[in-house]
Amino acid sequence: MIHVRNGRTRGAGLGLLFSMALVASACSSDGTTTDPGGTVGTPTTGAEVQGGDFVFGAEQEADCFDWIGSCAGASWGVYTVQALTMPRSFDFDDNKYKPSPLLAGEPKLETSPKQVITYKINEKAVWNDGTPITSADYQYTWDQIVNGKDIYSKSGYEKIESVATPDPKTAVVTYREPYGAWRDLFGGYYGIFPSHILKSQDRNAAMKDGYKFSGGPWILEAWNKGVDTKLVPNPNYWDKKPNASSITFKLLEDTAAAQSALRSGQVSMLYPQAQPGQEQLKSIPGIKFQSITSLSYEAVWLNTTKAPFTTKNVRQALAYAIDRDAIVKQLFAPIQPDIKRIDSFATPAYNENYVTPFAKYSPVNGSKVTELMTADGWAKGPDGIWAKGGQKATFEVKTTQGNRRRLQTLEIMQSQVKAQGFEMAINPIKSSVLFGEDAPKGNFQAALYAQVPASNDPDQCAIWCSKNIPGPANAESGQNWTRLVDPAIDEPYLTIEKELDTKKVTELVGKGQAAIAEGVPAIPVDPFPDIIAYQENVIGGTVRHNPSFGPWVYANTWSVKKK
Amino acid sequence: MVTFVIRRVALSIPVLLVASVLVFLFVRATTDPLARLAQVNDPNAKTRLALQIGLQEEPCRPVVTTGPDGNAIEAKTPGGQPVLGCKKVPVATQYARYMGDLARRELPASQLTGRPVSQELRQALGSTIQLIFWGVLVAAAIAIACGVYSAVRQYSLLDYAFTGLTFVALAMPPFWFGLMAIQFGSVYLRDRFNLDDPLFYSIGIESDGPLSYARHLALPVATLGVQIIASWTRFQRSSMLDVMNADYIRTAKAKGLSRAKVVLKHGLRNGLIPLVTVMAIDIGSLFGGLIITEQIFSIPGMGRLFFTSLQNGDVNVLLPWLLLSATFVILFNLLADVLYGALDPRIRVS
Repeated sequence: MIHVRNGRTRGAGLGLLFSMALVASACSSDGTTTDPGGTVGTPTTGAEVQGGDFVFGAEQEADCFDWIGSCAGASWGVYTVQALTMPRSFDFDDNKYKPSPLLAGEPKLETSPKQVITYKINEKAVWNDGTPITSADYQYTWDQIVNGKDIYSKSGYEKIESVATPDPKTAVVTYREPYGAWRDLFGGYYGIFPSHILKSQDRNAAMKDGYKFSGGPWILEAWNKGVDTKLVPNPNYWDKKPNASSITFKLLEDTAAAQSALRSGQVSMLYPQAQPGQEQLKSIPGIKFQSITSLSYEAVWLNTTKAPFTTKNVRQALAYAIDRDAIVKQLFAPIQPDIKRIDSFATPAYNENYVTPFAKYSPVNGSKVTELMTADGWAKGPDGIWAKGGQKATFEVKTTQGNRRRLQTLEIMQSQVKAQGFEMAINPIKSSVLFGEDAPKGNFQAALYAQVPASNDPDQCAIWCSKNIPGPANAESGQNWTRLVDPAIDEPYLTIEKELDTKKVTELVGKGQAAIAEGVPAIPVDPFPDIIAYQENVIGGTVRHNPSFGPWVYANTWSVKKK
Repeated sequence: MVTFVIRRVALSIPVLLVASVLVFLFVRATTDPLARLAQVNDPNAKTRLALQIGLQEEPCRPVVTTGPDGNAIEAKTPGGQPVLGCKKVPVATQYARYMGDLARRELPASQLTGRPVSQELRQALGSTIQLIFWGVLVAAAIAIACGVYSAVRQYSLLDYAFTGLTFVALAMPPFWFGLMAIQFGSVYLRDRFNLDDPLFYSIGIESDGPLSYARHLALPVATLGVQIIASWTRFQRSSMLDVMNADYIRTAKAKGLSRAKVVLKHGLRNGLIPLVTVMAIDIGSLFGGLIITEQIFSIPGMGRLFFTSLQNGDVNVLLPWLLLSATFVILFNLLADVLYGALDPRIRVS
């Protein structure tokens, strides 16, 4: 399931949400750690220390704390509060879904005659007021998402037929039709809501400015909007209780000011988005720098209904013309030296679902470009640009305004494709125009932007299936903005949507990505590095990345070294 | 005087109304509050938000369109539910409803956060007022002292130094100065003297005591003040030079008054008149113009509120913000006029 929320850079429209990696581990002398699995971090040093306060820097904050309300799209809300206070069915750890401490074990999956999931809730699981977390909470959560007002997205929950509560610690969820991404429900960015507290009141009003309940290791103590957010330990948390006395997230929107705050010791950790220049954090004395390849990826998306990309040959020729290795190295090598280009619409963090069909377009191959373009009736003009029927192979790439990384990517690309006979113009526009108007309405030839998956669930039907091309059947709201109709892509991805066998899903992903590499509705460029920088002399414990919930989801295992 | 004030206030009302129409139209034309849901895989999500923030209204019906084969198609969500289409509310109606709410003192909630706008503005204004108060106080003290000294000791070494420094300060972008100030006051001094905490903080102005408050305010106040000090110093110097060359100062000197009395009693009093009016106008415009300082120092003030609201097309915040800022500008302009008349008896408001 692709379920994109407001990214870490709201202004850019998209940003980073999650990260994981499958690249070789290396610790360099400058304090850089590049870790392999995305969740490996600095090992614990010394015994756990009780007490002390953590102060961390946050690039953004939540717009509100009603996680299922339309005001709650910001991923930073998840990183700083939701993941630390709301119970969820599944954790996303070591690149895998794992039953969280909320559950007594792996839920039981039945596939016939209908898809039924039976969740057994941990007997010890209680809200912070001591009330047990029960199946009624599952039922209430589903009811609010499906029937509540002002809901952010009902995606997935609409496919649920019923949530039964045979006993307080057993929730039975029956689906109308098979739904492959079921692990993302009853948790993820929403969480499970306490029915005993919220049932008698307006959920949105009760939660949007903050709430005092918790089914996680921390309790939200205060939200000073625009300034900071403070959490304290949940004394009734049934799993690993926090060591520290509090966490305060200071809102630091300015990148340079955030770096200075880390350097001056006003905050002890940053989780900055990958932009050229973040490598400066490595040079700060006493700072540990971790960088891994995330789940998010950036690509050049081609509108297959607009010239010159209406033919497959031109799209393939463009793929052969772009040196993706050079782009990735130039952008991210200073941050993550071993970063590699991606060869499908996924990153290595997708584990077995990462395949490499786009590898065939590397390295740059001028003769292939000539072969494909010539076969399609193009010939190079005196200016060295391909032309056909008086039409030159020129195109414009739209991207989001104010994003230095994207502009740099396109500037590199511009010279690369020019050498292969393509003329490319760059048009940075407001993200709201790109994503709100131009892309959905097909008013672009090519666009550079990111896809930010909410998990490593490989269902990408939303962006590739022909049924999701904006049109009458979906009220122009589909998200297949490349508008490519290709049965070879439809077939595997329509199946993945309903496939519950993970091995079969992996096979289908391989098939689907191969079809995409053949049809080239888009060209994958780079994965994003996911960065953590922290003061080693302040944070004790294993500091590591989490692709779904951010690094602070592990803060209950850390100690304050220096009080 | 009273008539003058009433007339100025009355004239400002149509100005505010025109400004509010322009802002409403500008924001509606350039930003889409639904854009943040553009990539949500639920077509009804946008409709729900549009209903909530008044861009659409009931009745809502399932969207039925004509398919490629000419047959009617009911649009569906990925979950198989009908895609709902609601009645769009014209921009003029949205504006009229908004102003109606405003007239009834029922400010709609922020479209972004759902919080009462009055709460958002109150919080932002509180931070900005603190910053402006201290910034103006410090800037005025330094500017007057330097300006008077430069005028009285014209062409002295310090006059040249102040003149040079003011030009440097005027040429310095505030964001650059702010970052340099953080680097020096927060980072360098801490490292240099091996302190546990930075000497001056660079995050927010929340604090737990007067000393901490001063340490939080020092850098933002310096950043806010650097260009103001420079321009006010130049202004004060020029104004004092005019005054010090006036006949009545020569007379005062001839009468044998002490230098201090001549400068402070006769010179400064008159030399301050132009500066006070400039200060009043500058303070009014500062209420909405501290975006850079507030951004760099993470201060949740009016400038940052404006920036965030504009990015998200939140007219429910932007309009009251504009009205409040405009009110301050008008009030302080009015104050400047009144002060001018009050400080210089030769000037009478007509």
